[in-house]
Amino acid sequence: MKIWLVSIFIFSCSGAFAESQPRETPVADFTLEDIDGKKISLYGGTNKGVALIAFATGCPIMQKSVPTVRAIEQKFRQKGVAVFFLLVNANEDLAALKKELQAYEISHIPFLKDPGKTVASRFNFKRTAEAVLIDTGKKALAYQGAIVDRFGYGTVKVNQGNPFLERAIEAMLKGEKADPMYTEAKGCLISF
Amino acid sequence: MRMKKRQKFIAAAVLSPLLALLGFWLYSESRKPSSEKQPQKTFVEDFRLLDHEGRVHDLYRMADASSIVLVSQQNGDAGLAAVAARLRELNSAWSPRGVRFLMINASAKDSREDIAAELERHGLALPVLVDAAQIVSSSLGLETTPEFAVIKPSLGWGLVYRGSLKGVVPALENAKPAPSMTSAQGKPIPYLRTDGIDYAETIAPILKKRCIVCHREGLYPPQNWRGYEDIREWGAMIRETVRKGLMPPMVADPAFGDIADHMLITPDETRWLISWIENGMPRGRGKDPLRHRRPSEAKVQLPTQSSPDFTLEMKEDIAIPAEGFLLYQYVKLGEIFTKDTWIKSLKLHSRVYPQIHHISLIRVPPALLKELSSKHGEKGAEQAYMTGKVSKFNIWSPGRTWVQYPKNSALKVEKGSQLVLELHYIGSGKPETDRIKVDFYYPPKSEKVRPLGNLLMTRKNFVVPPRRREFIVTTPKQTVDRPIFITSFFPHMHMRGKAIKSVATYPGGRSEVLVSAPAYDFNWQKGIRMRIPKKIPKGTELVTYCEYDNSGQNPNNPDPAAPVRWGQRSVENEMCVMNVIYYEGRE
Repeated sequence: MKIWLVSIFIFSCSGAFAESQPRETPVADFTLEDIDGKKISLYGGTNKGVALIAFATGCPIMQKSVPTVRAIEQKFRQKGVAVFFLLVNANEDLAALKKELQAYEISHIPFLKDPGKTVASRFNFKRTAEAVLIDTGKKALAYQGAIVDRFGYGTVKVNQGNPFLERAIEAMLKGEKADPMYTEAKGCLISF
Repeated sequence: MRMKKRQKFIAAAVLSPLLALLGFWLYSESRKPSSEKQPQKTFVEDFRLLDHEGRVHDLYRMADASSIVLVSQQNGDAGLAAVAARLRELNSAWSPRGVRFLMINASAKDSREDIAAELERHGLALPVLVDAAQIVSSSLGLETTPEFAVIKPSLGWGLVYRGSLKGVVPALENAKPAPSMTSAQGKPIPYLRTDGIDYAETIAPILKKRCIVCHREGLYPPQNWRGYEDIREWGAMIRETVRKGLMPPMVADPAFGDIADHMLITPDETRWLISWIENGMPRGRGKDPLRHRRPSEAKVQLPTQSSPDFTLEMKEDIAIPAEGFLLYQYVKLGEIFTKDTWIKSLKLHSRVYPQIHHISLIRVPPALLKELSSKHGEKGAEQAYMTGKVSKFNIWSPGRTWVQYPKNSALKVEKGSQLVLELHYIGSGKPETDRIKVDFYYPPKSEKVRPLGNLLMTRKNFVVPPRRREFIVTTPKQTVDRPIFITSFFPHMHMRGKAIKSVATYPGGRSEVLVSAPAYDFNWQKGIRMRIPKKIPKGTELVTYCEYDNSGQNPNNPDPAAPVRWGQRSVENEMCVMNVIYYEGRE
């Protein structure tokens, strides 16, 4: 009887513990086609992490964030972190998009088509230029929010702003928790 | 081992609450939203409204308030008399505790003057937000007047109470959300119909008229609105930017002065557009007007279709960095003028219109040009603005690639002068280059033109204190010593600038607001043109009021902790300038 009671107690306490220490949010695999028709799976590579960024052409905040994304992709490519863009505009003009990718020098980064916005909904993406970082080892969410907090609606901070995504990737590679783990992303609202 | 009755009782007594707790925990875990950012159901989205005095109120700039109380109002409502005294008491008791009281009028017919008179009758001195489009009041669920809504910024902008006066104090005292929405007895708000709005008939024409003039190929992103399917994708963003007053940009309050090209959307158009988006953006029937746009509609033409009288172009490309800014570059435009030249209109050609922050034209007169050339050689003209001896004319307005000066006026370029461009760009995320070309047009031979000049209303040597939410700088009074006709105003402040207005006091003593930019934004360097040049009689006193917000609630503020002194650097310093373009009239 005593053992039974104690075990229930411990179980309840573990529940209370889980309440104060948020558990990792698991992320299930998905496979999408990129704009050239190539199938790409989230856990298909040998990467340590994947940064997935909601993208649509014509969003000024997204456009201004591209150099930061490009720098992140370059910096962490060798360290096992990949960057994917997720197309959240179901009516994206692919020919115009490809031209824009060349101008922004990001044609080498995969652009994934998400026609029903199912992946966008799964991550609860609200805006373009919003990023999620997935720890592919733990298959869990490591960060969600702004790439950098430099760009606003018609505004650009004079200083470089906080490079949230970059810091989250560095923390993940060290086996640490991103701080902050969630930030508010500015960008263009996605219509669901 | 068998348990005794007493032991069973203790086990049950201990276990039941534990199991209940466990059950509750599992239930609450399952109810947690998938993201921590998920707004609660009664979350109030940001909005911008002008009050009855023409001041701008942005909800999310009130983040430092402990609560915001919005009171619905409409003129001729006897119910307001019953609550006015109590409302005054509440305001004086709770304002010191960080509660902000505002009223909101969604009658869609009460004028600002009538609202002011109504407030005076009730002895109230609160700002009344004019919600003529009714979108804010309806989204708050307000049904009658007077009805009270309590919003708590600290609870994720939660609407914690809506109803009659008696629930307001409990809602203010309660630190947790208590969504006790009651229906207040009162006069119904006359909401106008918002159903059955047709895309082809109503929405597409609004978009064409109010949005696509700028959001088009070669101008501002998003530029790819090829039809309904694109609008559907951008609908949520269109709704948000219109509700927040970011789009169309409010360059000046249309209630003051006869402004030629304000970019505002009407209250009816706003209501139709927002409700259509909120109702799920039905396509309806009819040909899609955006899909069948004629190519000519996508171009903004000069009023005159003739070829230019002369064209000047920068000698070299200028490089615009992918990130950040290219600030205040001075570049010569063409050679020294060999004869007096009058400019009636001009058209600006750029490879990167969306990246232009502002472009001004500076005329360097012969004597100054000579002096600077002897010191700096070829680069002489480009040093002219630093001397403070020249004035500048803004030649770029967001969305409009041409300038035409009003009838009977033109810009005179004296023989021996040279033109210089002041350029300021914002990076687009990719490296770009530009080489500005300007087409110039002479005035028609039949038109007798007078030279345009400029009058600066400005004050120097002031300091905006750190973290100050409202700080007003007044320019010294200037008396106009001859009659003038004002053709346009060009306000200039920096990142802390919030609002600016110019007031004329006529010789008889009557005062008038000539122009008011209540939501000044450094990112929108736009001149304010008068539809008909405004006559200012001799002896009129002119004054400009510049308002600054150096608090953390100003989203443009780079450093609220810094005292900001007068100066030309747009981040560290502030300026207070109203550049008035005019021509002289006759006595």
